[in-house]
Amino acid sequence: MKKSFLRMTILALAGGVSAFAAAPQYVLSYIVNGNQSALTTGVILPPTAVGTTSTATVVVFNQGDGDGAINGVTGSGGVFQVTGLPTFPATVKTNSNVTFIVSFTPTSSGQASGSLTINFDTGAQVIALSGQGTGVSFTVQNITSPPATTISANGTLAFPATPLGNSASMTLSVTNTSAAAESLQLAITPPTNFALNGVTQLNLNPNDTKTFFVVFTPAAIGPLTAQLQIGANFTINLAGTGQGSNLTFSPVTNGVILFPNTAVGSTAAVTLTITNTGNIAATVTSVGIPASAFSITGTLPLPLGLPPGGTATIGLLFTPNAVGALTSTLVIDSKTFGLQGVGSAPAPLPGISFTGVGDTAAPLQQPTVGLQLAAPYPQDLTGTLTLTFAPGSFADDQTIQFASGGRTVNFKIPANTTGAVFGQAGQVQFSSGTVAGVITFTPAFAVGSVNVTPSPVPVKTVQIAASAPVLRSLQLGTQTATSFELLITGYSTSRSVSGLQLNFTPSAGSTLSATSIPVNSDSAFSSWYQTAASQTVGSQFTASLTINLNGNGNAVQSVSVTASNAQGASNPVSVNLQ
Amino acid sequence: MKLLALVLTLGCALNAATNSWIPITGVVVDPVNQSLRPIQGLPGASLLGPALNLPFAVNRAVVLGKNVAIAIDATDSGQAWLVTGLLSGDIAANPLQGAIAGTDRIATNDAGSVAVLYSKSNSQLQFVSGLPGSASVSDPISLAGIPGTVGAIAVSDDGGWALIGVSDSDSGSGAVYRVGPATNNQLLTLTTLGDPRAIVLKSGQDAVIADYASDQVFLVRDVIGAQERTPLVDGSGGVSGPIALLILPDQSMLIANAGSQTIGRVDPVTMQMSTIPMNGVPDRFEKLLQPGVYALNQPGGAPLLLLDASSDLNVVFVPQER
Repeated sequence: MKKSFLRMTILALAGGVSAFAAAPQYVLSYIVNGNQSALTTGVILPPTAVGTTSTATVVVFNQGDGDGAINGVTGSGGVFQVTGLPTFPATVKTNSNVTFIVSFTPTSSGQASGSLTINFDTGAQVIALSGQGTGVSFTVQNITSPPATTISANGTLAFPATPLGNSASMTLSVTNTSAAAESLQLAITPPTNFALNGVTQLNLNPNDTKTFFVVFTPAAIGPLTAQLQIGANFTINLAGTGQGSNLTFSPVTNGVILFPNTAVGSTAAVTLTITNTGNIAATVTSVGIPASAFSITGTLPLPLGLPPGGTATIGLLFTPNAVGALTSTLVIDSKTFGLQGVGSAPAPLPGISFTGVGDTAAPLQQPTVGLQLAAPYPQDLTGTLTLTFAPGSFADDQTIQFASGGRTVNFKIPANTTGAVFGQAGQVQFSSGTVAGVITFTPAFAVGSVNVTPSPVPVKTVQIAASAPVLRSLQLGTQTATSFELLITGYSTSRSVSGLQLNFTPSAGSTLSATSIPVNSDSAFSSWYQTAASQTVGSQFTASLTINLNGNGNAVQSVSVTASNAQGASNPVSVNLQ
Repeated sequence: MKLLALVLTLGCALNAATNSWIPITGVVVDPVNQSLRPIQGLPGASLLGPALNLPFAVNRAVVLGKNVAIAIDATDSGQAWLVTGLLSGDIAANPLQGAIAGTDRIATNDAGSVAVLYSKSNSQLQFVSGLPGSASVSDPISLAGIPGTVGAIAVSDDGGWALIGVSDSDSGSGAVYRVGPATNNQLLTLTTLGDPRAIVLKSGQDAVIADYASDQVFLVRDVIGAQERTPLVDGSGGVSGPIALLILPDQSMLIANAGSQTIGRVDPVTMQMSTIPMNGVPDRFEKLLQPGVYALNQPGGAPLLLLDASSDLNVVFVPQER
C-alpha cells in the first residue's frame, strides 16, 4: 500500500539514463508529520520551537528498470542533522526505495537553512533544507564576569564548587531580539540547591536587556543539577558541586553504640570508626563522655584531622559498676550518640578467710587482722571491714578501734590477687581494748557498686576474756604532813574492782601498827564504771586513794597495792615514799 | 615505835561529770588542731582526748611535768607561754616574759627545771631556768656567727650549758657546740660532723650524737673536758636516718631511724643493734607522763605512735582521728 502510494507521487528525476538500457530512475520525496511531498525545491521542515526537534523522512524511490545505488549522503550540519542512513553504497533496487531522516533543532528563532548532498551512482544531487525556528526571540548571556558569554538553549551554566551553607551566584542577562515585546517566565526545576533572586518574570520591550541572578546554595555534597526555564522553550542546565565534609560513624545503630553484656567489674571494648565521606577535610575537636560506666581509651590526639575519605578510630570502654542496663552519651563535637550496655552479675567470690588475729586476744594488745581469698578473683574488689564489740559488761570500750581510726576500715583486693590491702599494708592493726567481750569482724565486698558479699557472710570473732585486774603503775599524788595520795592506774576487764590490798613497808628502824590493810573498793569502782567517761577508756582507771597518817610520815618506806575482782587478784605495784 | 597508828580512808569521791579517773598517758601537740591534747588511756588502748582550753593556737610545746608546759603560740610572734594546771582542771597560761620570739625548738634537762629555746628566724638561743615555779629567762645568745640551723639540743642536768647540733645545708657540714652560762655564752666547738639531728646526754657529761647525713652515732666522752669521740654504731649496723636518741635506765640506747622506719635498740654491752619495725616515720622520743612511755611522732596524717619502754619495748598506736 505504501509502495503504491509512493509510486503515485513520484516525480521524474533528471538523469543521464538511456532509453534503451536498463537504468535506475530516482524519484525523491519527503514525509513530514505523515504527509508526503514531492521534493522539488528542497526539504521544508515545519516551524519548530527553539530547543526542540522536528524531523522529515527523505524517500529515494527507484522507478527505473535497473537497480541503482547511493554512495553517500552528507549534510551541511548546524541545526540540521542527517540520521538513519543505510550502509553505503546502498543499493536502490528497481521499484524500491531507501529512506533516511533529516532533523531540525533550532537554537534561535527565525529562518534556518542548510543542505544535504546525495551521491547517486548517477551523480550527486544537492537538496536544500529549510526550517523556521519559533518561540524564542531573545538571547541569554552570562555576565557574571567579563567577557560575557552567550548561553544557548540547552546550554550549561556551571557554578563554582561551593561549601555547604555557602552560596555562589551567577548573573545572567536576557535581551529581547524581536520586534515585539516579550514576557518571559523564569523557573528552576527542581527548586533545590539553585534559586532565583526573587525574579520570576522578565518583561522586555524590543532590544531591552534585563539581568537576574541564579544563586547556588548547595544542600548536599557532590554534583548538583537543575534546569533554568526561560520562557516556554528555552532551557539552561544548571550545574554545581556542593562541598562539605561528612562524617559517618560505625558501629552506630539508630544513634546508639551498643556494647556486649559485660560482668560488673569487667571491661568490654568497642572501636568506633569515623569516616569522612565528604569532599573536603573535617576536623574533630572534642570527644567526651560524662563520668559513667563508659569511658574513652587513652588520650585522643585532638584536634583530629580527617581528609576526604580518611578514617579515625576511638576506643570506647564499658566497665559496668552495676547490674542492669546502663546508658550514657558520647558527644563528638555537635553529634551525640547513645551508649548502651548491660552489666551482668559478677562471679561469686571464692572462699574467704581471716589472717593475723587468733580467736582470743589479751587486753591492751594491738593485733593485726587481714583477709584472704582462697583463689584469685578476676576483678578488682573493694570493701569494708567492720569491727563490732559485744561487751560482757554492757558497756562499750571506745578504745577498740582500728589504727586508722573508727571501727570500719576500707580495703581493696586487686584483680587476680588474693590478699586484702588496707592502705598500703596487707593487714590492719586494731586495739583490743580493756573490756571483756567479743570483737567481731565482718567484711563486705563489692565489685564496683555491686555488693558481692557472700551469704552467709564469714565473720571472725575474737574473745577478750574476763580476768583479774592488771595494775600498770602506782604513783604518789598530793602529799601533806598528815596524808599522801596514791594514784593507782590499771584496768579490770570485767569493769569491777571489789577490793584493794595495801601493803606498807616501814622505813628502817620504824614500826607500823598495821602493814597490810584491805580496802573495799566495790562501791567506788562501780560508781566510776557507771560514768560515761569511763567508757571512753573501757575498764581503765586511775583511782585516787588518800592515806591519812597519824604519826611520823617518814616511817613509811613504800606502799604496794594489789586489786582484785571475781577473777582474782592483780599484780602488785609499789611506790617509794622516801 | 615511831608510827603509832595508820588510818586509811578511800578518797575516791567520784563525780559522774568528771574524767578524773581516766588514765592520762601524756599530753601532746596536735598540729592539725593547733592544740594540746591529752592521751587518754594506757598505751595500747588510748585515744586523743579533747583539746585543752588555751587562749592561743599551739605551734609547739614541751611538757615539763604533770601540770606544766611551755607552749609556743602559732602566731607570727611565736610567743612563749608557761601553761600550768594542764590536767588539774584549772589550766592557766601566762606569757613567758622576756622569752625570745619565734621559738622553733625547745629542749629541757631531765628534771624539767631548765629549758632552752631556739629561734631560727632570730638566730638566737635562750635559757629558761627556775621551772616550773620561778621561771627566769637569760639574755638571748646570738647564733648569727655560725651558719646553718640548730637541729638538736641537749641540756645539761644543772642547766649550765647545752649542746646544740647545727647543720648547714649549703655546705653540707655541721658541728656540735657547747654553750650556756657555764661557757659565758661562748660557743665552744665540741665536734664536727655532717648533720647532727639528735643529741642525748649520758652519765652527766658524756654525749651521744646522731649524724643524720652519715647514718652514724658517736659517743663523745667528757664533753667539758677531754672530749674523746668514739663511733658507736653506723649504717652497717642498721642505722638509717637517725633522728632521735634515748638512753634507757639499763643504759641501752634507742635510735629512731627515720630512714628505715624502725626503732633501733643498741645493747650497752655488745653494742649490737636490734630493730623494731613500725608503721610510720619516727621523728622523736618525746617523754610522756606515764613512766617509760614516749611519743614517736605527732598525730595528724597518721596515727600517733607511742613507744612503751616500761617493760619490753613495744610500739603502739593511738587511733587516727577521722
